[in-house]
Amino acid sequence: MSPKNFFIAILLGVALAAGIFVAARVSTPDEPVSAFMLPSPAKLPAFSLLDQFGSQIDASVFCGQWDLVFFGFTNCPDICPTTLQILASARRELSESGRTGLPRIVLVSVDPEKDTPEALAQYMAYFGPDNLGITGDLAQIEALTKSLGISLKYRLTMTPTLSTIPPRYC
Amino acid sequence: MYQKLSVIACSIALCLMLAACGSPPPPLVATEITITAPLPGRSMSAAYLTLTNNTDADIKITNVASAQFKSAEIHESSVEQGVAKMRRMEELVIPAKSSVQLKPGATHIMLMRPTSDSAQVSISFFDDNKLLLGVQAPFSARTN
Repeated sequence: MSPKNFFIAILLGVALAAGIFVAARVSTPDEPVSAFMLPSPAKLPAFSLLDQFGSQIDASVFCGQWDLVFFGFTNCPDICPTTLQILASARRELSESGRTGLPRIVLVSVDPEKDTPEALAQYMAYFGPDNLGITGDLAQIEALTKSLGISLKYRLTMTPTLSTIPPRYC
Repeated sequence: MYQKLSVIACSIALCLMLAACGSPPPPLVATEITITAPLPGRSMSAAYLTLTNNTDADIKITNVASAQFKSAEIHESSVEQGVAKMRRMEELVIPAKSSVQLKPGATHIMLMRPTSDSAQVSISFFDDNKLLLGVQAPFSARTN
């Protein structure tokens, strides 16, 4: 091979390598699936639980606004406060941008033995006003989690999913 | 005379610089430390940080302790088949010449039952009874 052809071959090789490198960098990575819409709305069971003020509530508590419902417990040090903090920060940013009709943040306790209404009141207030904490009879909470496809194995194991309940759910 | 003094001063400075360049880094280093304060009325919080092993051998952390909390443990949060779980880790291995990041939703230090109102938190890392590293940082406020 002549020196000239050798040089051209090297140049083409470098160009090919550079092209592959750039293509790999600019290619769109697969987006993770992080939300899905149910084909038809889940039907919530009738329930009687308590809000963070100790007032009895039922499924009608979800009427009139968008609700982002998370199942957790107040002594959870990692996933629960991190999730609620992200929701609160997002809500604050939307509010500051002038959006209205913002969703309410709802925590349903999966540790109702420790999460009394008083504990929930203090906890939920930290993440902003107008949030809702729900506690009460564990069997009723389990029925609520099942209807939303949440797996619950008491306190430390539960599906870390946000359920969205629309304002017209009544 | 001033010329001689300048030469001597520069020589000393050069020697000090060479000595500093030759100093090995600490075996275990903690960076990006975030310690969340317990939420109102709660007794648990978490610490997140990056641990870097500058040695040629793996470093094993078997227990942690904090003077500001009754107990501290290494925990791992995970989601398996759609279910979130948290389990205590008996040991955390930092591979040789590598870093391990403790972060929300993954491995973290769980701090339980605060013993003081101090705004500074110290955390010590041990391999059995051998102290590997001590860090200190203020509580980080959660911003909502």
